[in-house]
Amino acid sequence: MTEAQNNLPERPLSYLDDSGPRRGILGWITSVDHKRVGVLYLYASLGFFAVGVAIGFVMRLVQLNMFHHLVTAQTYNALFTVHGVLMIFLFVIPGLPPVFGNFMLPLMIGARDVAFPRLNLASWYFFMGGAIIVVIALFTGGGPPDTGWTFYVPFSLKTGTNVTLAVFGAFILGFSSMLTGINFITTIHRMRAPGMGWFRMPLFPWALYATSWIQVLATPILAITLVLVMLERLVGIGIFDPAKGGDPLLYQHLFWTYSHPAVYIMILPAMGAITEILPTFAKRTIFGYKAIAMSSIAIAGVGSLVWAHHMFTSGMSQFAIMLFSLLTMVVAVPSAIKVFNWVSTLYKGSIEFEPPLLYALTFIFLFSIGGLTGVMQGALAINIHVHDTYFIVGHFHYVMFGGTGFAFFAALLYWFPKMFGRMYSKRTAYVAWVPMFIGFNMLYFTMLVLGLQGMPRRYYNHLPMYNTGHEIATVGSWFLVLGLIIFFANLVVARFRGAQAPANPWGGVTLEWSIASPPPLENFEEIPIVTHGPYVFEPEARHEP
Amino acid sequence: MKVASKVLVLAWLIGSPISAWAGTQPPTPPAPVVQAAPPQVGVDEKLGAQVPLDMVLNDEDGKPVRLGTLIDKPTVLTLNYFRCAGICTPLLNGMSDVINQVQSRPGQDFQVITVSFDPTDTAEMAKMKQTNYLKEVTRPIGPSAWRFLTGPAAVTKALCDSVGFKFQAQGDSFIHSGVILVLSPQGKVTRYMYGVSFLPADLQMALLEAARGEARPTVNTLLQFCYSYDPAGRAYFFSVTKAVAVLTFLFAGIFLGILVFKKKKPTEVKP
Repeated sequence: MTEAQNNLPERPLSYLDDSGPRRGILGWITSVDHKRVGVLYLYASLGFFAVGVAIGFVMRLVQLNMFHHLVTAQTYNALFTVHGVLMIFLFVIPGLPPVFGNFMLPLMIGARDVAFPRLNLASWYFFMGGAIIVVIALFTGGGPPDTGWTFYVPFSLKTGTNVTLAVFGAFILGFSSMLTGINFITTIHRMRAPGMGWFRMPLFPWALYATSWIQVLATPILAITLVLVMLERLVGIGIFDPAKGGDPLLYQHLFWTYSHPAVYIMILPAMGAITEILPTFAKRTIFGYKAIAMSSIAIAGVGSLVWAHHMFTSGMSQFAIMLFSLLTMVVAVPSAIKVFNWVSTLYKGSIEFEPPLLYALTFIFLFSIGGLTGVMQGALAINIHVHDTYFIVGHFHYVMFGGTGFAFFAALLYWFPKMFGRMYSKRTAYVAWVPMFIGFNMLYFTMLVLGLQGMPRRYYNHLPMYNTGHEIATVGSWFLVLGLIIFFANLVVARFRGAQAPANPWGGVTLEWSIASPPPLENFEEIPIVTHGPYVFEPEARHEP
Repeated sequence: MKVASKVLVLAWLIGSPISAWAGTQPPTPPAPVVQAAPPQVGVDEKLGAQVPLDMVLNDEDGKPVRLGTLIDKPTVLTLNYFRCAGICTPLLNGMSDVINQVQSRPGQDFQVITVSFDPTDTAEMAKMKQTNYLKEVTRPIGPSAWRFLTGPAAVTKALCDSVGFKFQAQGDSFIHSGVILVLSPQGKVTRYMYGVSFLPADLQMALLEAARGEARPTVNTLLQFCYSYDPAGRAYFFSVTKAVAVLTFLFAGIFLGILVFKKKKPTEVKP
């Protein structure tokens, strides 16, 4: 079957070829084709990722105590704020769903596009509009915000830096997220190919479905909260000001009511992508399909009820603290279900080792460390001890970067040939992994240790006792950046000079592999009729001639 | 106060973030006059305290009446004295204003009992007060809906003590604070409301709370869900978070409902 598709008689017009009334860049930014919108998101978010990495790199240099004449303490405050805002709002949250969700969701469920193609393009414009406003905020007004990405009151109300514009940018970004969520939910409900019942749907769409509900339900809370911060700064309405009858703790509650579920907006689609990659390279069906599908929903549900575990030291009632601690432990269960299912999928599989699998396995390893350190912090006593230390920084980089970041890389390697019709150098992809993996663990594992020793986060200086740790971490960041450069250089070269990729280079069985690479304009010549589950590898079970 | 009440209504109608501001800003902030050592005046809040139902006071005709026979529904208790040249008259005026505006029906859903803590006040004076204040009320109201009671010093003092109300004689007048109390039908103190004028919405909420456990219309349950009592600001405020959460889930539910129940269009066939 694969052979026949690899040698298509003539390549149909692909989405990469100009076909609309407009050509070139204009043809791209006015296109409502879900594939083009996905690629637009890809380029935009990778651009912000690059800036975020550069800022992180500089922050690590500052901790060597050698560049304090170049970076002042105030600048450092701005650096970690901007690093957080760029990475979270412009890369990790709009990472997998808008990029791979947009591109792959319609392909995987056998549709020609998402339900609302124009809304989809509008979301990209909201995204870019918000992003541009955030960037403008860095260079205008009182300078870049210095509050940390959390914009905690009362400091965010008092600081003279450009917080108002920055939160307005984040407010606009929220619309992009919500509209994408509504779009995906509708697409999944209404546009599945004939015969594709809910439980014949691949698991990446399942993860997107769970994610989209969080986006739709939680993002408005952030939007309102940010508007309140703006109103508070502009006209002093007093909702967060105790002198006027307001409550600063209310800000933290509202903020985390969105921002903790946002963590699951980040990680759920990453888990979904990993769930696609493993069966393809193990050449067997996923272990525990329904358990994985339902655990996505469970994570979305329970994950929306744990926000106050960010606030154990903020002064809540003992009862609330214990309740949120318990719920935090509970949310680890569905996550662990996924991890065990992934490992079981590999068991007795006919494993074909390729770069996407390597990165996917790295995800499982790093995410497990991130997840387990998360459970540690869910425990009250440890939480109080490590609150606001490097332990937290290490933990969430393991989840966000080791988890979502590596899943993003794995997904990129997995779907790159499909998206661009080109193949990258597998060797270079392996080579890039070595410094990335070593550097990552040097950097962030050291942070875990530093945190347990008591190094507070967001500090410009550190005591001499932490010198060694900081040096190890900074050297690790060099390896990490080196690995990233090799990784992306490889893909850039492949994008323009790579060899022609076959339609199905990995032997995948989900619908996106049944069409040409890059996908034709209308995706499917004929909408496929689905007669079996998504991960059936045995040809005789596929009812195919 | 009028403006504040309008704001409150607006907040309730819009349910928007702006209302959070109007809501969290307690409209009636006057704090109780709690002072340290002499003079011992003010209110020592005893929420949940039981007023002595066996206590016998004199009604407007001078006949003895047991407090327990009067309290059979949510009751507003005010403690005053009838010769008062200070705060009592504005407070009783405020009381008649709020009786005119509150949603609950006086006499049926709730009643008011004004007790004089001045032993020199007589039943005749009480009768006169009652006649005057009932004229102030424009709604249909019988004399049993607003009672004016008097009693001997020991008895009225005991009543004041039971609810933590502290007053002190000064010359031939008294120093005391302006407060009304809301009692449950069982005679338990459920709410203190300070000042001399009261928001109808606040009183309504307090009466509903006092009647808790008894059957009440759905709209009131909804009101109670949407408004919470803020002990620091001593006022009810619109809990915008609850209302917005309900709206959000409502819209999400409708969205999901449409997706699930509306029939799919026939699958498009490519020409």
